[in-house]
Amino acid sequence: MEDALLQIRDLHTTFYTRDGLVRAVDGVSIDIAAGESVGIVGESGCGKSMTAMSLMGLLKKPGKVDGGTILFDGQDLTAMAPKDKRKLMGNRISMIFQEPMTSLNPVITVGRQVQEALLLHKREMSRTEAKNRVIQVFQLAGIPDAAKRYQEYPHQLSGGLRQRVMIAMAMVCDPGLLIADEPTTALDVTIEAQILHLMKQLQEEKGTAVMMITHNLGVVAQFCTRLYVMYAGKVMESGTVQEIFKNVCHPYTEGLMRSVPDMESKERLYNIRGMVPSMLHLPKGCRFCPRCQYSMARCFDQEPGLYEPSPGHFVRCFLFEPEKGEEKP
Amino acid sequence: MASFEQAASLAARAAVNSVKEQFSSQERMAAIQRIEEEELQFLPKPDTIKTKLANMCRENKAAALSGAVLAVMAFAIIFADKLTSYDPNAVNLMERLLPPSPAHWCGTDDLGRDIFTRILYGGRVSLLVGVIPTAISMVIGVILGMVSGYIRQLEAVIMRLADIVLAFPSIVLAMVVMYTLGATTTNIFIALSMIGWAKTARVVRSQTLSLREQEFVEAARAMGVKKWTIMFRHILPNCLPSLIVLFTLNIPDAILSEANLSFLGVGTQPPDSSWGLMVSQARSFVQSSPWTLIFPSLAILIMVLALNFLGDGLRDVLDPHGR
Amino acid sequence: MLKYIIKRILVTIPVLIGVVFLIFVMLSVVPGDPLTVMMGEKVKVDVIERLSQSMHLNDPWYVRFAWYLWDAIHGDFGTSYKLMRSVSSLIANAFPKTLMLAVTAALLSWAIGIPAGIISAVRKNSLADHLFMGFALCGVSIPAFSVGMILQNIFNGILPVSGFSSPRHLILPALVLGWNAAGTIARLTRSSLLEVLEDDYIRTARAKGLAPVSVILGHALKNSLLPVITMMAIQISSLLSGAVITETLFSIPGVGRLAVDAINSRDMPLLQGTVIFTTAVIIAGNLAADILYSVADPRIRVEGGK
Repeated sequence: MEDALLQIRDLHTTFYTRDGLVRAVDGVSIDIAAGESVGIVGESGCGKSMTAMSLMGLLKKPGKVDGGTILFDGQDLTAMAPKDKRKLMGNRISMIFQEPMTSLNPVITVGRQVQEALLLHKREMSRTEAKNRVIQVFQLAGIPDAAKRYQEYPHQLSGGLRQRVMIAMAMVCDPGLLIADEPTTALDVTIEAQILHLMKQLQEEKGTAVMMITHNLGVVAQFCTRLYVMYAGKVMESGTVQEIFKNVCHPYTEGLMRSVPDMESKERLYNIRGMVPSMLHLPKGCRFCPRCQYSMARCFDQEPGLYEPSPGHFVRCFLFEPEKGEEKP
Repeated sequence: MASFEQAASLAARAAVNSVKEQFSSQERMAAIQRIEEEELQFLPKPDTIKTKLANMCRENKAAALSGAVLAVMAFAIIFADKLTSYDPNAVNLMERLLPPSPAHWCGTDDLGRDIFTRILYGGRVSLLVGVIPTAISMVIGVILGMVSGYIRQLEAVIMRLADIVLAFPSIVLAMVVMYTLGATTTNIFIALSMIGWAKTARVVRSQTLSLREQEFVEAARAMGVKKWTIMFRHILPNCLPSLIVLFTLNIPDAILSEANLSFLGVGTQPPDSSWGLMVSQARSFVQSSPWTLIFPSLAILIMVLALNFLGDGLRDVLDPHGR
Repeated sequence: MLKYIIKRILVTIPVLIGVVFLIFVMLSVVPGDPLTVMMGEKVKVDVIERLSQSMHLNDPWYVRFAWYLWDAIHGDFGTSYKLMRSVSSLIANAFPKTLMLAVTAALLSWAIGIPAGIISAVRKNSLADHLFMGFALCGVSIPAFSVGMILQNIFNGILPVSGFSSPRHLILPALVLGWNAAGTIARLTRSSLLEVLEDDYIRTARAKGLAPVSVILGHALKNSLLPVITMMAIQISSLLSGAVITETLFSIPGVGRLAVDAINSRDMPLLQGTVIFTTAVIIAGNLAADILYSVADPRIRVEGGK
């Protein structure tokens, strides 16, 4: 994808901990085109949030991006001066977090917190204009009584409303890319549906690209057109949602899908055996091999490359390695 | 949701491959088991107080050094009579106010007594005053704190009592108690214990309040375990890390309180000596003989500083959210 | 909000009565007949009888306590045995000096302690952090009178080292008293700011594209200073405690000095009066800090919070 809005190439993020190096993101490449919505899926600790944090420059110590490039609109975020990068953050790229209860500053009114982003990035705007714009965005975000809510503190709002405020904050500067890190995980199921609906609607109206980080394949199926499956810091499978749901290739993706309860199936719910490996000590060979029900001898000592069983569908698994002499499809 | 057809095809691919590789399922299980065993070594180890202390010594050099300094000081104070040949109270008017020299490492005071010797012996009072009232007040504080956190009927009484004690400026209350009881070393212990318990009680109470809501305490209650058993067997051990920290940080407070009381004339009485008393006795000779002031002040500073460093280090590893 | 303040005020009343009671009981058990302390051995019996009557000395202790409480509420703490003046007027004379000393020391400690704490937290583990924290820890680790004596020695002839007749007299005692307080404030500001900087909303603020300075000043500082407000209340207590030492050392005729003099001359009403007054000031200070805290924190100020 040459004209992608966001191009992450071979990104490496490492945590230099007391007990050793943790390669939280280990050579991840992701593309997102303008206006596209892309899902990043995986169990917790697989590096999906860390990919987003590296992109936003929000890594906590001792974490550090130590390899790869992140091109946004043709500019490399990893090589940019912090000052220039801050001009993009909250403006062209914005982010929604998992914890609506704690992500807003308890001692500042929600209106001012949203207005702050606007005043920071749209210098020409006066305070009154900014306030009116915030109230307008609050209404778009489905916050009832927007003018009244503007002056309230976070503790006066419910979790769902707070997440709507977060969305308003992220959308107020009309960003090109919105990163949503498990935006609905902490919410009730009914609220979850509303929030996803709202995000979908805003995305379509504004033409914003969305990077949806989630462990919930249901959310991806509803929301995204393309999908990356991550495991232990690496992308294991990627392709369009349609293709992957129809023709699942990687045993890990298959495991994830079979772990979703299905009302029609009488079969016992599947679970992937074992647990996510300690990131301090990854197995030699394929990272998934000890938990994979199809693992072969070579999986235990060689790392699989990325193979393309069908156009645009990539899998990191030896099962899909083209036979020698066989032409790449 | 997943297509089972697909799963079947994955399995078929795998089957073909294993035949090709002649990789039996036993070999496969062995390989998995090997990896899982390796994994086990990298599981996060449970943090015991011991491993936490080891971490602190490795990472917080100031705290580790402070521990060593305290050990040396305690050793010197306890074996004072082996380390110096002078008598702390022997008056020698021929050797008044001598500056530090090889014979008198820290000089002599206005009565010709060796200051180094007096610091070692005076350290006994300061050390005892640091440890004993702190220990007593913590025992009282822990019991009252747990009771007021666990038995709601007694909460108001105990906490108002603590409020009253904490309302006083501590030196003033200690002063009044010493005035009432009379100025002796034993009474310093009593005075400081009477004041110190309130702070501990508050900390322990708030911890008890949050612990009593936890599942393991509710489980014990549901099983019919008696109140007192719950308090001492389930709640107390969980307060232990913050109590260790509190203990370390309360000792310097007590040492400074004794020094202040001695300065005000209601603490340690001559001819006994404590570091605080030595400093305040130096008042008249500071101009001409600054060593009479400097060395006992340094003794207090080093011991209290070391205890504070150690306490801060312990808090970082044992009780990161306590303040 | 108003309800909270009223409730908070009501809670202090039993504490205040408890304070008076505790001091009264402790000082009642001290051996020695007050009248002997007051006028020496040779006094006529009828004089003693008359004075005992007017001072309620013949009544049981609880009646005397009731009288004492009643008088104290009306601002009457009795008459000093030694100075033969009403305790209230002695305190009224001395308190402004103590207050000036404490306020100067407090201002000094905030002006130094809060910025030092902020710099230490923001530049954690830098040289500045280690220097500030070392200095702060020394401030709380050395007895105030040691520092005071050393300063008196160094500045003898440059600055006044005793008495209280000009603002210049305030410099050294305020420095001694303020160093300790600044140390406490700096340490608290640092740890509280470090904790706040880990909070999720700081990440939100950074994700907005705010510069680090704006994140700290605009988002972290207000939250991290909330515990510092509580600390300031506790500080009133330690400042008044410390004033006892500093006033004695620098011969400042404040309330602390009055209390020490009362002990040395076994002047019971004066001791009772000064201790109760000081404690009442502390209780009032804590109350003020609590109210200030509830105004500063919208989670308490705005009702409807959880």
